[in-house]
Amino acid sequence: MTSRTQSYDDARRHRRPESSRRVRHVTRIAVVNIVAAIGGLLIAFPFFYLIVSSFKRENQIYQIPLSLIPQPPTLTEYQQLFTLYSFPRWFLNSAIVGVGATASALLVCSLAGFALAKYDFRGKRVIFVVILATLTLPFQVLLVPLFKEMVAFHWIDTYVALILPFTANAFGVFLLRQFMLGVPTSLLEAARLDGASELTLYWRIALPLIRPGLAVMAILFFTASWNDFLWPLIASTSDDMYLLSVGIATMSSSYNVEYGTIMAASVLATLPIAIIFLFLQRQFIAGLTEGALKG
Amino acid sequence: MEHETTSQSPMNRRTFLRRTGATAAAAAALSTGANLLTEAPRADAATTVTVWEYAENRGRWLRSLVPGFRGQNPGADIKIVSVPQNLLGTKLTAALLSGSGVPDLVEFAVGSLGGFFSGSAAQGGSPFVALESYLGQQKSILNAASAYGPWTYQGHIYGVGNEYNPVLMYYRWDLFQKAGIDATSIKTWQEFVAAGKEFKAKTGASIIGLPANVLDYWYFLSRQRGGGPVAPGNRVTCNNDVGVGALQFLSDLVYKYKIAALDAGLSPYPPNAAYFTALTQGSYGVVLGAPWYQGFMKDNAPNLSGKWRIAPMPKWDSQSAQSVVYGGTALVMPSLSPNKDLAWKFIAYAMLRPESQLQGFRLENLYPDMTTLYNNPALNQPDPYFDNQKTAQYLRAVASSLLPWIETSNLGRVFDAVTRLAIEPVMQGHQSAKAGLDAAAAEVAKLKQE
Amino acid sequence: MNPSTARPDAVQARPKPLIGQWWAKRQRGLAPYIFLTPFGILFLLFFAYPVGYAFYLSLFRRYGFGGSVYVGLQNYANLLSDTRFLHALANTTYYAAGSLFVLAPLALLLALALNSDILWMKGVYRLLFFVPYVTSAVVVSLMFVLVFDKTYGLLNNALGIARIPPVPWIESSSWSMPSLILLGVWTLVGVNSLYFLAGLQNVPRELVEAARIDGATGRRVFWHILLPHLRPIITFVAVGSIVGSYNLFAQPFVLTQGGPEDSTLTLTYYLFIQGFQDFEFGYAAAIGYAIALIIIVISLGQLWALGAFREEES
Repeated sequence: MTSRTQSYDDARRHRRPESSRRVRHVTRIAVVNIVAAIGGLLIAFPFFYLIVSSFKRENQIYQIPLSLIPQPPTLTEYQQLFTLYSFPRWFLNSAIVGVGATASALLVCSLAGFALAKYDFRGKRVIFVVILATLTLPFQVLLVPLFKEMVAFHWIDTYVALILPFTANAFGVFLLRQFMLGVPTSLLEAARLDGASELTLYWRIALPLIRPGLAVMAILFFTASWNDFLWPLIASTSDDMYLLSVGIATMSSSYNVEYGTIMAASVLATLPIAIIFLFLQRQFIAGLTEGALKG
Repeated sequence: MEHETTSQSPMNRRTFLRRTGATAAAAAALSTGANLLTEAPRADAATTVTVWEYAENRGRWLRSLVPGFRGQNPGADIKIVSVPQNLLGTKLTAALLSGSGVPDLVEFAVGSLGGFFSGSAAQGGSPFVALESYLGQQKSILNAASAYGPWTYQGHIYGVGNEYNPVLMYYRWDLFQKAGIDATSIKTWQEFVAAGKEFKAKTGASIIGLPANVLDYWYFLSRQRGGGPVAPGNRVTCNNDVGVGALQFLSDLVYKYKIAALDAGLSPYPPNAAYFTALTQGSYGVVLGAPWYQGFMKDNAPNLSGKWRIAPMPKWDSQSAQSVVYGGTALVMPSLSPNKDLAWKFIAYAMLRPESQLQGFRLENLYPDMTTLYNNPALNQPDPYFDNQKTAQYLRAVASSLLPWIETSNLGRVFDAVTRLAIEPVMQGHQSAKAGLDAAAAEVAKLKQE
Repeated sequence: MNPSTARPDAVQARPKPLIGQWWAKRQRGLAPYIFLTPFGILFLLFFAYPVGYAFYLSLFRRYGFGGSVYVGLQNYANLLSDTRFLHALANTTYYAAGSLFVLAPLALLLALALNSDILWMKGVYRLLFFVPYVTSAVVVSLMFVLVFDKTYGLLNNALGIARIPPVPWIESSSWSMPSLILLGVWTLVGVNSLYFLAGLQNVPRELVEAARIDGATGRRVFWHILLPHLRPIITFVAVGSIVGSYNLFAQPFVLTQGGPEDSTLTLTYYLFIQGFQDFEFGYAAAIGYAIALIIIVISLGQLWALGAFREEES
């Protein structure tokens, strides 16, 4: 990193006199940081306000002028989540479904992606195009037929109904195929000469090599599952099985909308993903850079 | 397939715990999670009645009835599930279509039942159980216009409601006093306009605040003259003279007489904080609503306690009714309910038993539609929020001049079309009342032809 | 995570002696099919079958819950004369165009800032840019009630400081769609800038430096070196944005209920209304297929315009 910066500056030093160079450099720093700061602030501010509101009493949310500091800050709204609603249970449900959906989709989609990227076989192109085309159909169309299937399998109101339908994820196959394309074929051939089975190639060579890609997909899968709303509502018939997103929606659509409580629930619902991303962000960017978007 | 669920959970729960650490939340989650693993398979279908409810206040009331019901019916249980209101129909539809996961009872608000019958008359088969035979002699315990009317379709009663819901007017007597107007002298809408001009001149406030979607107020004003969106037999009447006149009047309040405020947000209901804050700030002098609306006022404008009084709605002329039924929620039994008899027992326990109805009033201001209770002292207490007036007295007064709700299978569509094509553009000043309501009627008529 | 605990034994306990010989010869040919099997089964079960069933439904006019009438392709024909469908199509296209042409340039601008050596606190930005994307659409929509509220909203109160009169963000039919676009841009600009950032980091540095030494201006470097290298990303962002836009549902559902005056009625929302409010499942399914067709046509158009095919033929 530093050496790159060095050479970059070296290159520029040859061109301009010292003073004008410094002025330009300072301007550049200012422009870049201001652009990013404005963008960052605009994105952050609603979140900031969400967090602030969650520590306000219900009636303080509607006070003009808007206060950006709760006075005094209160945990009432958070307490209500645990006393009035089955919040811990919803959280647990979301976590189980999120982890289950992520793990199963990673496995299934990476297997398919590996096959599509590293083998030549009849029907490959057709399969790939069909998978991509499915991305375009709105989920709402599938709602009723899918529900009927879940009923036939007696899966309504179980975690399976919330996990399995999204395991065969077309987007996941597409991106994991992109990552798998980056696995050197020579490496696979060498392993084959050593007598490795095809499954070993997948498990011991391909998967470890696309670890950043798996991180990207894990984040995307987990996020999609964590935030899914329509299907979990339809497919669970008891509120013990509600996911967080559905539970939050129940708080909001009856007439007595508890905005403070909703805001508190939203903060707690968003936090885990933010934390996961905090730890995985380097892999995420690396994953994107290395594979998915090379085209 | 059940075992697949449970065999997967321990691993995931471990992962989950590792991630979050031993926080209080996780500890709580762990205890519920443990229940999940040890729980017996889904409760025995023969003994548990599942009820879907959509409104927090009614949910609290229904839940409060469960212990007593259990006591009366040993071995029976009631499971009350909250469903987001805007998706209750969707969830029920999915269940009905697939023939499984159907609850024993569902709460239906007014205007939401008819759609489920659209076209099915021609095909036979009702998605819900007609309750007349269950009701039998007990039918007369309740006020028919409120308890059955909105859930009666082609002569059959599909739901039993527990709220008596004539629309009344509520006014800020303190503001009217300041303006030197006797609000009780406002008997007609013409007098309402005159009072509104004086009110504005003296107090600077608007006599009424109209939200962007004033569908409700349009309904009150048109229904009052015997009109309304529909007539029996799916006849669309929204664009007759009465309907057009009502919408024109609402628009005139804003644009011609300039006595109504149009800055009240989208609806007169929570969560529209703008509306209730304007109320609290004394920007509006009058609101209209059935008794259940009183609960919203108390919850969302608590510091106006004592500043309101009750009056009958103004009328159009000697022919128009004093009030109209608006709102209410009933328990409806899907034909696919697995435990019909027990489900009926719960309807009877909640709706036909005086103690349950009084409990609904005590807890959530749900005004009973049980005729025998009208003189009950509990309902005739002075209400400090309304300057110690008695709501019951006014409700009784309008009972003789009260128009019922008419439920048709196209009602939902008509309401929807009227909102989009008439109310919204007309109140924004984009469209004339006549043209807007004609367009709404035309859209519904076109659907019928196809 | 999961696989590492579940699978290793399956790898080690590979059968050798009996069918070993046969397997050793064939496994390379059969492996792709075996690897595709789990996906294939789940795909057929939970996608292909429902999709086929939905198409079957689209050939019927469904009357309530009683029964249905076969109408052939009539539902599709009716779409063309359904003014509400066409209105929803126009709304959705407005949204798609608005979000694409605002979103992509802004995301690129932020990415350029993020990629620069002189930006402070990059980690903070990366996190910040990602969080809106991973926040549930329900939460985001509820949050934006507090942003767009005419009286208590953040936006109008901020404008009030500058003495600008309040804007009816979601109460007026002319502002409601721009407000949804704003919401969409807010949600997606961050993550799309991360995509662009990934692309920028793949541009060989030497290339940029060489151009600089040759005296190329920043603008020239951008147009002639960076942008051509970003073509796959632009394709990805553009197609993703179109697919997302034409499937827009949760935001108008929670925030505006399609109104006022149908100004935020999107195609998917209209599908939902037809299916679950008016119980016209056949018609709803036809709308679904129409949406898919529209997305495919637009995406192919984009791919062609961005020259994706020229390179893909390798």
